Amino acid sequence: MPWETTPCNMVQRVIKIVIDEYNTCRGASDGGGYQGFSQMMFVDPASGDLPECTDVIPELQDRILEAVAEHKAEVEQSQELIALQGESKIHSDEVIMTCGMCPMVLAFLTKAARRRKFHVIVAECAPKHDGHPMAKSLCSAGIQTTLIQDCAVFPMMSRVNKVIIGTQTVLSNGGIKTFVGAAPLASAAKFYSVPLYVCTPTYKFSLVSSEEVNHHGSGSTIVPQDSNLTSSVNVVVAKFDYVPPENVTSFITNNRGIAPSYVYRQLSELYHPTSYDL
Amino acid sequence: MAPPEGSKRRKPRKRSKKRTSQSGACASPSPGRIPGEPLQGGGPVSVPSEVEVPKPVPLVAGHQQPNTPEKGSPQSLSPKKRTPQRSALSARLVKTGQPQPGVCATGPQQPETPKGGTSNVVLTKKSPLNGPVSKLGSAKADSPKPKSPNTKFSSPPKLGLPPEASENVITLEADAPLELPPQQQQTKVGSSKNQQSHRKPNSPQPTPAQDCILPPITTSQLLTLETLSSFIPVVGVEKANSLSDVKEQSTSLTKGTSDANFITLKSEGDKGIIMSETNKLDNLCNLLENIVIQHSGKEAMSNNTIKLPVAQTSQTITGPPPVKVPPSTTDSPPTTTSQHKGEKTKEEIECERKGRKEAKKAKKKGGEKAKSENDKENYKNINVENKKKESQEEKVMSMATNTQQIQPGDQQGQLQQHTKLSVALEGTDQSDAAGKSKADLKRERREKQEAQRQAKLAAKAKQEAEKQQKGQEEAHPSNNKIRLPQKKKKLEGEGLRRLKDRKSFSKGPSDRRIPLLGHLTPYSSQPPLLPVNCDTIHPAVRTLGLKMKDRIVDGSTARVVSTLAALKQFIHDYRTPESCDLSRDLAEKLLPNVAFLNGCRPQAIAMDNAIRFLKHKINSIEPNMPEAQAKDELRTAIDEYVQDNINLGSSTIASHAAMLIQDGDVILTFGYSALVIEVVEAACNVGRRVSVVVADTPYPPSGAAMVKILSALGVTTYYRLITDVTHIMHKVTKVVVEAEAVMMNGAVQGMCGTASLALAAVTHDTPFIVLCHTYKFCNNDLTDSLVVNELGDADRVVFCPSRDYCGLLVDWRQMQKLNVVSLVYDVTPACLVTALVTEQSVLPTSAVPVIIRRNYADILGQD
Repeated sequence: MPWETTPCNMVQRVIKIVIDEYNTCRGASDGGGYQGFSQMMFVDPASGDLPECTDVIPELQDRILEAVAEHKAEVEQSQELIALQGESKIHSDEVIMTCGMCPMVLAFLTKAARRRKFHVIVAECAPKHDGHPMAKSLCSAGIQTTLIQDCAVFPMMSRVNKVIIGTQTVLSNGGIKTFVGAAPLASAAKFYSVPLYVCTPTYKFSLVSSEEVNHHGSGSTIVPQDSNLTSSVNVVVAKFDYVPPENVTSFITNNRGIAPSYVYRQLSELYHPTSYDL
Repeated sequence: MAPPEGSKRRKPRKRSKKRTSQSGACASPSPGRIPGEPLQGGGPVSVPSEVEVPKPVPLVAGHQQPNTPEKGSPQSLSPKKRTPQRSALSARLVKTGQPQPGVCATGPQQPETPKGGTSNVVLTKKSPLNGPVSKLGSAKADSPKPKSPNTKFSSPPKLGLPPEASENVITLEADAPLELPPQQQQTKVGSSKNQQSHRKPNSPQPTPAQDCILPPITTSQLLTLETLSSFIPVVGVEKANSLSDVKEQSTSLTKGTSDANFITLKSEGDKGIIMSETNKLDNLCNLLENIVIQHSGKEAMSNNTIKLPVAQTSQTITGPPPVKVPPSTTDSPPTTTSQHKGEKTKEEIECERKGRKEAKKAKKKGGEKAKSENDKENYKNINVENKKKESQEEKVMSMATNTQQIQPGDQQGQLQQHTKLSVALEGTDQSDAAGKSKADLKRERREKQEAQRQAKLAAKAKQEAEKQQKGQEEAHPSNNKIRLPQKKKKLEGEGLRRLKDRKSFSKGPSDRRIPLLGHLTPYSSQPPLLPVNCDTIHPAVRTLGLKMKDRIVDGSTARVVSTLAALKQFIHDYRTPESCDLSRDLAEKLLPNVAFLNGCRPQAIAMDNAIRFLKHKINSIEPNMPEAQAKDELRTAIDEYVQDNINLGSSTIASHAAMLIQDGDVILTFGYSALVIEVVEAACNVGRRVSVVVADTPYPPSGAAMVKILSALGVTTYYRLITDVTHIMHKVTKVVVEAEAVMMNGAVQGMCGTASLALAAVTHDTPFIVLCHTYKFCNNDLTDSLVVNELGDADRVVFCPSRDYCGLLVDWRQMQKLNVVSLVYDVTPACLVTALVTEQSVLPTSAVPVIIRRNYADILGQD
């Protein structure tokens, strides 16, 4: 599953935690940090300049385990933390558009619906059609829901106040790699100057750059059942869409809202430069 | 519940129709009378007991006096005429005020005299309405109110409108034909009271003996009472006597000898009429009971006992259609009292009648909402009164008090209405008091009692009002809403009424309003209903309509061609009736056909243009042209239209577009389009090697057919989802789509999804070329896709191709908060369109108005 970036993100995150813990331990014992912050900024990721962690620090293991557990808790809480921001992002009587099924978005909207009354338009998200369960969940949460077909995104966009979607991955350039259909959705939102919010926990921030986005799935899922197309017809459906950073208004993360142009900074906080090329 | 009601209602309607013819005849004289009435006034009163009436007239000399003479005049008229008058009177009475009901009740009890009395009463009421409008204004609050409604209603019956049209009309009709059961046709509010009164007059004819038994004086008194009540300022000794007498009469007479007679009369008339319809009514009775129970638990109990009468009233009420549940509820209490005939005293009945009249007044006066609310309140009040079984006077007073009391607790609208009502009531009371010493005494008594009562009832009324209102609103929100519009439509013809009924029926389950898209016609899987043996729709049109509904004929071009073919057939089979202009008659007969097509599926703009063209042709036919020649001309015009605009146009467009395509181009298109296939073919024929990317949506997957045809042509084809085109856009060199229509402002209406292709094309700097016949140009300007659009079958979205989620939302119609929408069109803004390829040339979108002005001004400018 080369398109799954989250495991890689977690590994890189753990590396960062380990190095940080090592540094703090040494700093505590040494009185000086192994690598100052200013030094870190100048590390050349290309050289793979791994710190030489040769010192034996007995309590390091415990501290690392503790930090990892803390990180785990953070990951587990991320959905809740994102959902908490619903009220500050949605005002009453708003028309929200979303596409496909994303538990993060669902939690976000459901939480916001407790204090706000708004209308959600769900695009069904064609090859997977997981907008259907999304619509069902939303309406069972008491939210006025309208399910539309994908091609009606553009016509409906003129009435939409906000677009809120989830994502598979946040790329290092601030773009996102997400479900098929997000690109037309985002460009329609851009056309109508509708803000597009992406609900994503920070662990989906990836060091992957945009070139690696495309993975093609089986075209058989999109061919109508009763039509037997000849083999000469090229039938392909992509697995993910790439939404360029200029079409994304903001990321709603478990920490705070992050603009696409600020993603690089978030990445440098999340991951150690030595793991950039992992 | 609904179906039984409907059936019941229908029957009454039919009767009403028959009656209408009679009533129409009867009613017609009444309007004529009105002007002359005042002159005839004094003399005509044929009723023996009515000697009093003529006297008051001269005394009064005011507005109402003319009324009495009018009454006299109608009485002088043939019995049939009288009956219609009565009906009109009754209706007006219902509208007017409390005192009238009492009069009516007494009137009916008395045999022949009552007829005259009733007629007189009617006249009084009528006179204000029909006759001197100016007088009305000066007259009491009561009189003006009735006048306006009366005038309205009076006209419809004359016209012979269907009984359904208006409640009042219905009452008139019912009354007019004595044979028919008056109860059923009676109006909602005053139905029970009025019915009784009417029945009595009616019944007296069949059973003169009984009538004779009753004292003639009572009728005269009743008449006088009415006049008095209506004329507050006029204080005649006679009137005073009559008023007091009337009130007393109502109680004493009903209780005394008259009671027995009255009851018997009622029972006879009612039974005769009722029994026939008992079966139908039973269902209604049950309905009413339920309603009553919902509204008021305790009160309902008494009502429950008497089911049959309630059913009658309900039928009368329902007479118009299902919408009338609220009125039925209001009526139900009075009906209950009527049911109790044998059991309860006349007082109660009268009180109920008064309540109904009040309710009617309130309705007329106040807004629709207020009306419904008032009805409810009145109903409540009536119930309370029934429970206590107080004397008539007390009850009447209580009614007024109740209405007043309710004011503070309730909404402003209600308050206003109540105040009006109360004022009116007071006015009547005052007139009574002034007129007669007895009346004064009684009034004083009443006031005392009222004061006491108000204190008692205030609390009760408030509580009950709140409860009942809540319950009623919850139970019959739609009914109330629907009913109000119906009233407005009373004057309209039967056809409209039926249409509305049907709409309301069909809307019942699916009247949910889709947010943002409530203005679009909801998709229905059923073709529009047609009356049985309807010959206005040509079979070819009917077939085509169903085909379009099932999407067998789809796409704007195909729809236009087949529509024109069907209409050609229609014109072929058309025969101009004698003494008719072909152009006018044909255009008229064309309308229902077009409407049917529109009902099957909302018209495409191109279809609309084609039909406009046809109408234009029809209108421009010389009146003296022989039919055969005219039809020939029309047929050739249609053929030429199809040939020039569509067939030749397509090939010209293809050649134009082929010129834009270069060797090695990758063309992105959307769905199935015969025109695009033609273009690709033309490009291939010119020796250009092209490959085609077909974007498709799952609903319907028409692109698959397109891909098959293209690959059969030897063209390299790609099949993509519409949402997935961004991944292939970098390969695409041109986007070519066909338009459904092009707007005046250059916006392109296409199948839903075209706009997102245009957007993708623009973001990738790819030319977006639109193919369009100029006959699809429309002199309308659209800037967004939702204003003019069509809703498709949402179930196709529900049953998506996905294995996991297919049919997940099957029951979406049961979910209040969930809507599934399938838009058919979208509109691409002109700024996204690079070029417009028409049969005339390749144009920028800014040239559209020029083409419209040059070629289609005569057609498109018509409307």
